[in-house]
Amino acid sequence: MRELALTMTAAAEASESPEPVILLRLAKAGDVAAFEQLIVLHERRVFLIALRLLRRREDAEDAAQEVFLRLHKHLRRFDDTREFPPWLYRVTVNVCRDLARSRRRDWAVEVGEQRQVEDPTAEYERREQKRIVEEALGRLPEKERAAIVLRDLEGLPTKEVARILGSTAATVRSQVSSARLKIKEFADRFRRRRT
Amino acid sequence: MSCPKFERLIALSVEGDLDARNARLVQEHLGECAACRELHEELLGSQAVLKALNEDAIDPAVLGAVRRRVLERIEDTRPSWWLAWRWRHAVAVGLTAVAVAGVALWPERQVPPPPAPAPVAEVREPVAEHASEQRGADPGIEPRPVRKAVKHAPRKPAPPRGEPLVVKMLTDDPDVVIVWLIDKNGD
Repeated sequence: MRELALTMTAAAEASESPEPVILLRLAKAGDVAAFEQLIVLHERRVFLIALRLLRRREDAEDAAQEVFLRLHKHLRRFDDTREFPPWLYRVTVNVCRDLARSRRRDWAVEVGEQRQVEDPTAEYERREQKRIVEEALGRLPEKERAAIVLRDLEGLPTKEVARILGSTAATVRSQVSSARLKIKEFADRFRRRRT
Repeated sequence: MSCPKFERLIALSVEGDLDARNARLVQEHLGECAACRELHEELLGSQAVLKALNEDAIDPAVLGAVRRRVLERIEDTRPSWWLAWRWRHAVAVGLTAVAVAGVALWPERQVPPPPAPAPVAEVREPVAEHASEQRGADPGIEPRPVRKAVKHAPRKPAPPRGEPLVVKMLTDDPDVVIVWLIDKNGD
């Protein structure tokens, strides 16, 4: 522990923040401050994944909280030699799945009322496009949504996504390809309806 | 209308998810098919919008609130193992204290060996005769055996039975104090 603390001090002197791996080791040893730093490092991505999968801000907050509580509970079991983020994302996906089931909510969300564009300024158009794609994302089947969120929004390699979802690279490629086409289709339909 | 056979490959190609052979096939096809070129362009557009979703600003206060709740919950669960650790520590210290007290009291507990019975037996015989005579005279009274003083090595005087040894142990919790009372026999 003392050795780790010294290493952390040295790392802190060398750079602004200690290496994540050192934080991880300190957190595993029960250092709450290190665990807090670990949360700070990953909270945004965890929250965004949860938000894209659950689509409700309050659900995403609950999911993020549960992810870090589970992380704290099981951190001692984590093997240092493995990469941490994929493990964390797997926990995130599982928590979101559990939360959606426990609250009896489908991952897919009903499309809301489609607003007519009254003021077609560039900013409004951009926001509208985002809203359409977001809704299209919400209509995807659970597995396709998880695959595209991890692959396209988080930018993880296909193999990594497959590991996180307990699937194969071929399946993930098929899900991602299908999801991209569906999102485009949905956006097209929306545009056609509008015009 | 794009070619159904190429749709999935084009959807993968927009993010570079194809191997070299399939990527080359798609490129060749896009050079020949206007409908698939259009699909390719549209997919690039929808992907750009999709990726822009991650640029959404998240209120740091929301993240801070989540973090705070997590840390509070961790603190709430902390006393269970923390207390267990303290108790383990306390028991270890207590056992050490008892061991130290035992060692300190050990010389006083050494009782000298009982006197050899032989000299007593020699002395008792005449006393028994004398007793039977007395029993004959007055059978109702049980005569007390009279022992002649036997010279032994002088016995160590018994240690004074004073106050018991008190071992008081303070824990980190001001409400928890462990007290051991050890009498001079080490019990």
